[in-house]
Amino acid sequence: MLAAASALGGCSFTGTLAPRGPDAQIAANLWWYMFWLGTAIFVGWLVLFIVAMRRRQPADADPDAERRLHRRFIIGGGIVLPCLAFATLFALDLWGINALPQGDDVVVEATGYQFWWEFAYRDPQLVTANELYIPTGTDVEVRLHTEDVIHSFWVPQLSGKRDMIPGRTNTLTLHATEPGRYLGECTEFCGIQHANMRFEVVAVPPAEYEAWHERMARPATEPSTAAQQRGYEAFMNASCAGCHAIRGTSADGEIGPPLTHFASRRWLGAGAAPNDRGHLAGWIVNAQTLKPGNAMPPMEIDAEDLSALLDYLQSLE
Amino acid sequence: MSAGAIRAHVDVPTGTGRTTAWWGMVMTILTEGTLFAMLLFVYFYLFSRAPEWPLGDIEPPELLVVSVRTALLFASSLTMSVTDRAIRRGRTGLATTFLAGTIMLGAVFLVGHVEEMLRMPEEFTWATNVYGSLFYVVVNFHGAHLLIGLVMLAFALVALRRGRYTPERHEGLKIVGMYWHFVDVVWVFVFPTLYLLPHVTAP
Amino acid sequence: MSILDPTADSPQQVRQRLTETWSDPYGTPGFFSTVDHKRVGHRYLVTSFVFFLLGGVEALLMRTQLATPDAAVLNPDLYNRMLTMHGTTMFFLFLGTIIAAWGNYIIPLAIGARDMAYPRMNALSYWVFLFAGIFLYASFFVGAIPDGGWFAYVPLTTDYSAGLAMDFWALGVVFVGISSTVGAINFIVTVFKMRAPGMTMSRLPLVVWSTLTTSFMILLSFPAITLAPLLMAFDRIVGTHFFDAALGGDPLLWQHLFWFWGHPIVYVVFLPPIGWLYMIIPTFTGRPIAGYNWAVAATVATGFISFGVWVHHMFATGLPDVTASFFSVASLGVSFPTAVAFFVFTATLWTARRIRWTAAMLWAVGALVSFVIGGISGVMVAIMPFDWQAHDTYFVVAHLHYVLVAGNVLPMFAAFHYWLPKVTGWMLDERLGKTSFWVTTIGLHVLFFPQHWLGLVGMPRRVYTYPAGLGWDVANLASTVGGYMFAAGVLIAMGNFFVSWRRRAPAGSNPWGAGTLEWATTSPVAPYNFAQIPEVHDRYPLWTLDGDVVDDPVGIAPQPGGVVLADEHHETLETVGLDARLGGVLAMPGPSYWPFWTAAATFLCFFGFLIQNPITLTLGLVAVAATLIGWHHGHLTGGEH
Repeated sequence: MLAAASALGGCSFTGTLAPRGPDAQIAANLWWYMFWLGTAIFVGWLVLFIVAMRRRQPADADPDAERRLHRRFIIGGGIVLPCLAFATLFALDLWGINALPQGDDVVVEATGYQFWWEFAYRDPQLVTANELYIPTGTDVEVRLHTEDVIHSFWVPQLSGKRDMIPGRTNTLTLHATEPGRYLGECTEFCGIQHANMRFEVVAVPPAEYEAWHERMARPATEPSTAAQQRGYEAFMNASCAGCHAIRGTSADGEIGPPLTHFASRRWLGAGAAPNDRGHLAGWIVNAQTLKPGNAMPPMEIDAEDLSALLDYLQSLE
Repeated sequence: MSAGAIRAHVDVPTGTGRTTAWWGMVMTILTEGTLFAMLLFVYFYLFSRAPEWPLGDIEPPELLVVSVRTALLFASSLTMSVTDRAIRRGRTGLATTFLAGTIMLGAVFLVGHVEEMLRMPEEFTWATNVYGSLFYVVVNFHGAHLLIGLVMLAFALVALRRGRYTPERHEGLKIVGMYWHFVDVVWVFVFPTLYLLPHVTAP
Repeated sequence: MSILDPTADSPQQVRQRLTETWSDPYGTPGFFSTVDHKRVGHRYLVTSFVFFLLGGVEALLMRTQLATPDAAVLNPDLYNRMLTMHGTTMFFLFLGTIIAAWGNYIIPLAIGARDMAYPRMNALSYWVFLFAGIFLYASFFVGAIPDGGWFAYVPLTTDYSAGLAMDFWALGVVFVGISSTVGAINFIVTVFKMRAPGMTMSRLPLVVWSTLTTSFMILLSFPAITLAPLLMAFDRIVGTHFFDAALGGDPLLWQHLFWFWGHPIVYVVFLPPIGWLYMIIPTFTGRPIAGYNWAVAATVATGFISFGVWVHHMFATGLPDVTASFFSVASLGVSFPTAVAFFVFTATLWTARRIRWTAAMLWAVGALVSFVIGGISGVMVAIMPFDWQAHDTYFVVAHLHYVLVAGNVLPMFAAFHYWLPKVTGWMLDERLGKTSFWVTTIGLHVLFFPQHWLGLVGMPRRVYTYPAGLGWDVANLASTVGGYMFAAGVLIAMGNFFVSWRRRAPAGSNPWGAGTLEWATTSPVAPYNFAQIPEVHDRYPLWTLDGDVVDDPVGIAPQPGGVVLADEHHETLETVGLDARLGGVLAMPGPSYWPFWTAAATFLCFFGFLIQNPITLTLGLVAVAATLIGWHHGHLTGGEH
């Protein structure tokens, strides 16, 4: 996790305040408008309040005049002021809702699991995990499902969040205006590892996206060295294949993330650790130390098999 | 009354306005009524999401017996009203008869309820699907309230026989009656929802 | 009812006789059988405050874990349990009960009554609250602390939660709800029936208006938080499918029910505190509240509107835009009455002749200023495109804590500094009171203000840790420092209590020169509250037209020829109508053990349900029935039912 942190630091993430898509841009614009409006109202009221506390009403003030003054205060501050503020706010609210991107040039089926993400594409079909590639400048419709509890899908720099609810399918349109890697998070409390249920949206130019899609749709790389072969066998003989799928092999488990092009991913365990040899070894031996409470059990595996397994997994580009 | 600060009694106005007990019962009915309204909201909410109603292969409920029970329950509201009028006119004997009658009608309804609870699980249970869950929970919620109402009526009957209620003072009987009417009114909503609606919507 | 005879009865004799009639039995029997609203109020105050401290410790543990990235103070499992219990404790065992605490103590006094309308039900609601709190915290001792979040979203809390943890939660929440509901009925009937003669609805102190409003809100919203956890418990224990999408249930149903309670409850927990401020600020400005009718209208309007906004907690669930827009507007609508309330305060201060800056006044003003920030951020999250970003992030954490801490906790301290002299008979130290105010309030802002920013830069709620390098470190550390500062302020306030207790500077009956009836009797309040039940002709009965304070109110020194009630029973007056005409004499029930036993029997029921033992459950139900029958034996025609 410590190393994960430094790697995440590589991108300059400032969440909703650094929008990279029209949806997030609308929210950011609304935020800044409301921030200045709110500040003005707060400061204005505070000044009035401080003056009220410091001034002294003359003892012989006319009670009727005071009553009129009170009414002016209350109607002005309690009715007129909110009316003015909310007329603009509500107009912006409706405008914002209508201006959101709605297209479905690319469709991705996203499924939440405790505690990782599955992304399924069509034409050609492929299933991957924890990394969502999208083409820039395109409306990508993400259909949101869950296999277990409620999760919520959020990419702060691209768009608002939407929940993944059992028995329902929600949709959300992502649209990235610039290439980049954008942090995605689960924002609905979903259990012990809610904190480590992250993903990355990788926005690339359309041509690059097509190439990526082609590559990902291919079956997994065959083992090409003796070590990789031994690792492949270890994978199939140990319990790995019962939970994970690798397309092109007999491994078709559906409990954990698919690993067909595992080595191309940057993260282990949905953002729990960077995908390098050291962390991967640690993850396989005992994923519970890196991400306590996740579904992957500790493995009894001897050092040579482990090394071979690492070779094999790292070959799955 | 011992010697102390008491010297002269002044006239106490009585019988003006509602008593604390009356207000308490009204507020109890308000919150209990909200509870039943929410329970029926739950029913209609889940009904509106269901592809078919009843869900699964469940048959809509049999209507004959429950209709008779419904009639008895509504009759018990009438007998309760008669009880209330009788005591206000000082006819304690009549009040006793009709209160006993109210209890009898309620008890028969409740016996029918228990019989239904023993018979129904052969067709479906609360664990079959959400239709079953709703049926059992709603009907037993009502049954539990009815049982509470019956116990209250029984106590009122004891008090009545002991001569505790007079034309001037029968607040206890009145508020117990209010609760009983409330339980009946709930059934006005529960019966069509649980028993008639599935017949209308059944494929 | 009797007339005080000027030749035979001195005020001392009257008081002596009343004390004999109204005092509880001495010692343990009195402890378990008391129905005195003041003793019940004390207990509510102490118990709620203890839960406030427990919830606070849980919060500090979480803040300590979040002070630095990748910390290991709490493991994720324990963090989630603390998260759940912090929210559950604060909402169910503190915020909602501290209002009942002050309500119990102040309402009967402020309306010139000798007790609540149903003293025994009042004792019952306390005992149920205590037993429910014990029930929830018993989970700590069997290692099954609830872990599904205080909002307990299904199916995480049904199909995906093993063990007893969420059973404790679901049943505990239903259990506390009984206490709130019973209490709310009691408050309503007390306000309707027990007002002193002449206290018309338009002379009602504003704290009574806000408590009346919230009591109705409780009656209409708590059925949801009774029903929803009950259905959850059925799903978990009995095998029903209300929230199971696979068999026709729906997880969103939980959210609708939960927030149908959950949003009104936010107003329930801050309307009475605003009511406390409505009492405190006029006292220290020495003049009536400006725009009384506006304040009443704002209070009642808030109550109404609060039932139309629950869906704004569900904007991210994918509801149709039209539905969501309606709730967006309704949520904006809530800020109208809130704005009215704030300008009522502003106008009151504007025309003040002289402001006395006591500790209580400082706390009250600090609460107002801080609350505005929470109000403004609340308007922001009602705007959907922004809410889709802010929802379930630290922005919302900041918002809700501003509302709840500035809307309930700070006013609670204002109330302590204001009313404790009435409760105890001695003054709190002013200097320590002001110190604790500054430390706590600055702590509050250091704690919660940075969290707005954390939310905007993408930190989700309810995460037990976060990686370094996302730019979240500094704000999190600041927030934790603020948390400890806030805690230090609370400790200073508690220290003030104990220091002042040793010192016991006598308070006198009306130390602040206040105008409302709770100051028209001795401090501490005698068991009978008022020697002679006052007649009310004004909103501020203790203030003369010249702005002086009545020296010797009838609550202490009954006037010859005045009506006193000093029979052998607990007697008080009931009034009728909105104008509080004299209705008659009520014989109130005296001390009784039955409320305690009923609560204990209820505990047995919930325990039986929890351990899924039908015999224990049946035994509990029989015990509840038996205690209720014992309670009402011979009372079927009496004042209580």
